[in-house]
Amino acid sequence: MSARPATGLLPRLRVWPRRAASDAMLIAGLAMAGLLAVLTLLFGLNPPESAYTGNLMSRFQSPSLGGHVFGTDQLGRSLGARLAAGMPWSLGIALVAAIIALSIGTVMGLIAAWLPGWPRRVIRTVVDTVIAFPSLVIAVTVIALLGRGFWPLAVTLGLATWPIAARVVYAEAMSIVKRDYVVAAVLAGVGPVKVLATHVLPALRPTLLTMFAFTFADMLIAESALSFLGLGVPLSAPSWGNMLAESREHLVAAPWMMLVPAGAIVFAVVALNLIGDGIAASARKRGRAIG
Amino acid sequence: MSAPLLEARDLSVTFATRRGNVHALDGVSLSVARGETVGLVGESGSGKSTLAMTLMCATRPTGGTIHFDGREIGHLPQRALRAVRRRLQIIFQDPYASLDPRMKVRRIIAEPLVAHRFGSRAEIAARVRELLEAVGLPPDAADRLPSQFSGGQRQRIAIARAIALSPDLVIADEPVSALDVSIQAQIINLLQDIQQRLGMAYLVIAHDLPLVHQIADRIVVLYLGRVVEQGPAEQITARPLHPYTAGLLAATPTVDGTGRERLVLRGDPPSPINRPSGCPFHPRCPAAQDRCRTEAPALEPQPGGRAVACHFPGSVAPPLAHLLDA
Repeated sequence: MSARPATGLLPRLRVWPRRAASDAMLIAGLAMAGLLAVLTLLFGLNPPESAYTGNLMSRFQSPSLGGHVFGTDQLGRSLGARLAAGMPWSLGIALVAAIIALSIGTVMGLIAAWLPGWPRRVIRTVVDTVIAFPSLVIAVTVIALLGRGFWPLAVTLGLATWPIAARVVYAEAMSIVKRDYVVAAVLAGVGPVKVLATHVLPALRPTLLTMFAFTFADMLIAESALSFLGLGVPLSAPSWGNMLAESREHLVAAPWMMLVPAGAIVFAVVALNLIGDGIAASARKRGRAIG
Repeated sequence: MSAPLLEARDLSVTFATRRGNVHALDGVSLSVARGETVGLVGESGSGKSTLAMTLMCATRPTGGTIHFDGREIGHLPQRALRAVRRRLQIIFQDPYASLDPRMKVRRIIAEPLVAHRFGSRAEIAARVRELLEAVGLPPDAADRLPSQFSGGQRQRIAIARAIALSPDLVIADEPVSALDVSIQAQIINLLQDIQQRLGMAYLVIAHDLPLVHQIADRIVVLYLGRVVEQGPAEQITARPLHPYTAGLLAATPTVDGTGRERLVLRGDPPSPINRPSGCPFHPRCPAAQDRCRTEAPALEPQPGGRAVACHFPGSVAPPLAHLLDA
């Protein structure tokens, strides 16, 4: 609105395709993520029997449209079914971990931005310390203490990641709390919690959504990496990381055993990154329009 | 005369920076009576906005006192300030920045009402309608976002928010300088109109002296964080005593285009970190003498309820300006 005169066709031509591209990214990402969500609900929560029970007659079958679409593993279990059975593990842990990381990070970032003095110093020190610590060491330690499984892994990943979210939220909130409309609300007598909830948090929404998508993707990779190292979910659970770990011994004989879970991870990560980029692009666009 | 509504005495604000201390305000005294309009004038960097934020207690003074309705507020804890803020409101310069772009106008205007428990939902809704009408906006404006309004209309929304609780004093920090010239008069008229109906006092901050003259009863001129001249608006614009005031006055074009005698304020204001010795204005003053370089003038009372901080008051009246023009 503010002082962007329409000077003929050229600016419009320059803006329009970019807008379309960001929308297309967002739509493609949401469609891919939606597909994963539907598959998780349809098959993941109630996986076909063939995910766990093998048929030794049909070991190491390569993917084919006639038989097993994604092939079978060393015990003759359907990789497609195992992929589905792994969804609640891999996607669920990543989702919960991302929610934990962003929730704690947002609260801490907002507190640090709002309260100068000791709250800011304490939070910044904690954030810097946790970030400086290798997160793998944290994860190994916590898992050694809590044991393996869905919740220990989700909580551990969330606790190791929140400082990154806190840092992003803090940096952004620092510029938002100086805006006139936030000062105006304070001077109008609105209490701090309400100012943060009604003015600062909504202004952070695009950042939070973008960060959520990227953090979700990061958590998915981290979960896979930990499972691959044998530190993740129980070995009996076909999480995508566990499937990758099992494929290692049969890499030459049955490369699809590696390609199928790896492809699933890449698919999910690409979907989330498209969503994140799409939200970021459309927020930038709107930011320009609002000014 | 009864005690002034707002009285600042010897107000100082110093910011510590890496390059040294910035004396944004240096011993500023100022008062606003009930129902009065005081104009505060100065260039950018003179401390106008710092003064506004300090009087609103958004910035704490490092020295001096602020009395609002007889009560010291400069050092009240945040919690206790809430009650004061009900009676002390502010209008910001930039109506594009002072309204949350994600909030409907209804919520923006209702915000102070809700914060101070004005009444039930229905009462607040009725008050919002009343306020929209008072600032000349249609009732359906309530359901729109700020981005759907022009700059002048946005400033009307900001005014509606500021007067929502019928405050005793409204501080307007450059209320029209971000607006088109054609809109400025409308907003000034609106402010005057509202004052006549509600009887609140205004502290209008601006860099445009003639504009302030148009609405202010009294004018205070600020230079580098100090009051250099104050007095009734008529007298100050008719016969400025401080060379700086004369310069501000001469810097404004006249309507007929003939121009006043040119008196150019040469150079930029000095940095508030390295303040000049003596009179802070002497490096730019066309009438500066040796005494001005060493001795800082105090704000001395003058006839007619005026005061000026100059060793040679009235030495640079506009009629003499052409002799001193660089």
